[in-house]
Amino acid sequence: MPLIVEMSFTWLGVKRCLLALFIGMASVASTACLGGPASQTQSAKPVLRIGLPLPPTSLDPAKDSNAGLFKDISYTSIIHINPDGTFGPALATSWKYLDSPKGPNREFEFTLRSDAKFSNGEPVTAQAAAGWLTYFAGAHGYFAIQMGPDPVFEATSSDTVQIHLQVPHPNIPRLLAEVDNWGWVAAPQAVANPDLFALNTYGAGPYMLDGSRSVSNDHYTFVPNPYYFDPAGIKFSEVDVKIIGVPSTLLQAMQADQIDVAIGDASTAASASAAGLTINSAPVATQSLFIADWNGSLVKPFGDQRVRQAMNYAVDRKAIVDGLLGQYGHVTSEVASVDSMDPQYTSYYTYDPDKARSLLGAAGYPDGFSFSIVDTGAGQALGDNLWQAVAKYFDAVGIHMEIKVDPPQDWQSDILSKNYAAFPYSSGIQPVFIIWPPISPGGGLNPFNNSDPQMNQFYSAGLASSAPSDQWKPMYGRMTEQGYFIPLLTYDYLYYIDKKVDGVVVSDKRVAFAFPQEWSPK
Amino acid sequence: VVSQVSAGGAFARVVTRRLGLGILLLCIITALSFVLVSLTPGDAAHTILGDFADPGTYQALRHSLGLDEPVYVQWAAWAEKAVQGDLGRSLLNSEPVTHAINARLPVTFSLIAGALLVTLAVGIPLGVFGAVRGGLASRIVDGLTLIAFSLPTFWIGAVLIAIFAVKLRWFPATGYVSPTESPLAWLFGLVLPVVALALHSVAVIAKQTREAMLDALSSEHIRMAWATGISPTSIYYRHALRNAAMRLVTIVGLLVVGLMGGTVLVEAVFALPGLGGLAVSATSAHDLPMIQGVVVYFTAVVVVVNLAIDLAYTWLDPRVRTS
Repeated sequence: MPLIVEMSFTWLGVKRCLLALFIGMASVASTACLGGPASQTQSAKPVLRIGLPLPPTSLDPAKDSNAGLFKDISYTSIIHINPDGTFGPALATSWKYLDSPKGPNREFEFTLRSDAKFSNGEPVTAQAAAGWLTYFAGAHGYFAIQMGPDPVFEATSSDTVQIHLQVPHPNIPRLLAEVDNWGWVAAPQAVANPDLFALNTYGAGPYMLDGSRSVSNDHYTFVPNPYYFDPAGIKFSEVDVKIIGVPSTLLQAMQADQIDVAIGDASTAASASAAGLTINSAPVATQSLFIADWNGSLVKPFGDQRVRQAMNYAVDRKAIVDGLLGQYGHVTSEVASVDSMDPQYTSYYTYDPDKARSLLGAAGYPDGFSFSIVDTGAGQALGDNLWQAVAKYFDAVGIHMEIKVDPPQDWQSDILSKNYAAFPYSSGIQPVFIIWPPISPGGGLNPFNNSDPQMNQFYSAGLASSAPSDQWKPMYGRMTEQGYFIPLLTYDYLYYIDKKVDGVVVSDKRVAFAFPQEWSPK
Repeated sequence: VVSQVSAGGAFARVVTRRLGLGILLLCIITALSFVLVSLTPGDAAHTILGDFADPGTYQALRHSLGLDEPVYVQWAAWAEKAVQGDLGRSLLNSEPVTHAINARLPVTFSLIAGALLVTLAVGIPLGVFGAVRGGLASRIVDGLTLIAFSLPTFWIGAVLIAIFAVKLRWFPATGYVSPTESPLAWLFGLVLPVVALALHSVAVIAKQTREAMLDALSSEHIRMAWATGISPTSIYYRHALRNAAMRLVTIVGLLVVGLMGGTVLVEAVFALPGLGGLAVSATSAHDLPMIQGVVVYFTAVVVVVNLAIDLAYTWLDPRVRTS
């Protein structure tokens, strides 16, 4: 600390004294504020400081449309999903599908461990879990429709819960894992009075929210849960989550040693790398143009498979990825999923404008045609640049794509208006049972109610199968060959990690989420 | 005694009139904000469920949140509870509105108070200096205020963070520490955001002080004061500055309201949990009860600031008391 020693009782000297005092105080305060060494000396365990760009929409897992990282601090899921997509025990020690006279994949059972308690001290029982799941299904949250209409949850003993479904579901373990919110069981006290979720968490995870030290949408302080069933799993003395919406500020907070792990984005990745931060990433979603009017009722050319294929050949995906995303984007001509990818379709459509023109000519559109899309930015990672680039490639083969821009809130009304035969669509890298329903007949993103009987058949067969991928892979192959989508790229979810934290594993098998329960101090 | 009684009466009249107008203003503005929010695309159900929600789930959630009711019914239901002191709960996370706002008030007030303090402590002496010295000093003050006024707040904030937080590590880059937790950390956490927030106000108040001082110094009674041999210090600070204060009081009132707006940007850049950020997030999420709560608080602040300005006028200018 530079102290000025040459002083006299002149005004200049007094000013220098004040300056030195000020600088000294600044140094002391900054050391105190920045958490690093000071926070470690307060306890044997260090503090974990996480930076997120967005807060949860609600602390109630049944109503929050985001899954993953934030919940994993204070909740333990029923089943754990490993980075490779397989499942392991969490609150449940075992699980299985049951034989049912109604058909396969309609009855499911899991058995809970006996030593788990919620952070309010209530035991995790089968009754509590069944109550939670029943509450979840009726809470009108984003994930509530995943188990179909009117699912029934029944505690058949003190530690066993059975799930009875009206429609088959081949992957209930995934719904009960960290990626889909159903599994974040909350205490009966909060389920009976959901307003309690406003200021607290009620999970059976290693930490619990300290409401008195948290301000919603800004910062959340979690302290160890005294009832956690695995005390060795509490690796940090405290977990602080700071919401910082400006990407550059989030990075600066890491550089100033105020954050240990943060969710980054492509705009700051180069600076983060230059600052010495580790960047772990995995693909999170596919960005496509969805030809919703594939029967050609609004834009007649879309009814011809050759036209849709021509559009797929017309776009130079590699140039787009290199220009807009660099190493954090990946070329694909297949909508990515966790359970139905077929490598041969990832590069099924290569950039070939001549072939595109030839296909258009064969379909009777040698001079091309025009259509409009609406770009609301909803769920989009790349903004308008992507669609301008795509329009340029279409123009080169004679297809004119007009881009209308609307606010994100207009997404659904625009889509359902039937004024647009195609629209940008960003689909998370999820199982087919999540990706397909919105675009299937009667789905919310299928305004023209188009139907492909072959695909429907594959899908239904997959739902009732113990190996759904066997049905869904050919379904996806057909979707790609038919050109219902013009998939362009997959883009990554990025985590910036400093040198103090280990175990931040990111995988496309679990929607690029990273889970704090897996992290530990270095 | 007569003078004191009439002054007290004048103050009472001002307070009564302003409070009456304030209540009327609150009714109009809360009703307007309901209408305006209803005119913007989207709603809280959309925010909760995201872009790709199932339409049936979306309609069910809208109904359960009461968003399918006509706007006037929603406003009447809100107003009925609000007059009883219940501002409701967030549609998104069920947090009581008063809890959310009270948690953020200290941050915004700290920012505004700090920025106002810096504005007055730096801006007024700078303006007086420019007016009294004239010539080159005046032009330097003019130049500095122009530069300060031209720099965007978010840019200033980012530069301050880069230099003083990231490079020198003198101050934290983000966040707010309560003074009850650590007064020193609270103080140092506020330095950068307050400087970023105050810079424009300093420029405005310095410029206005200089102009007002020049006007005052060229007035007849100041020339008379010079002629009667009153000391320069007394002329500058007792007579001219007091005269200029009438104009400055108005400007300061406007600045406080402007600083409230400025906190939105500063809170975003420095990731501070203030009311500005809450207003932005609530508005973008269509969280009506939260929006209404912020509107009520901001309107109340504007009413109080206006009241304070009127009282200051009444105190500074005897003509106002007798009018």
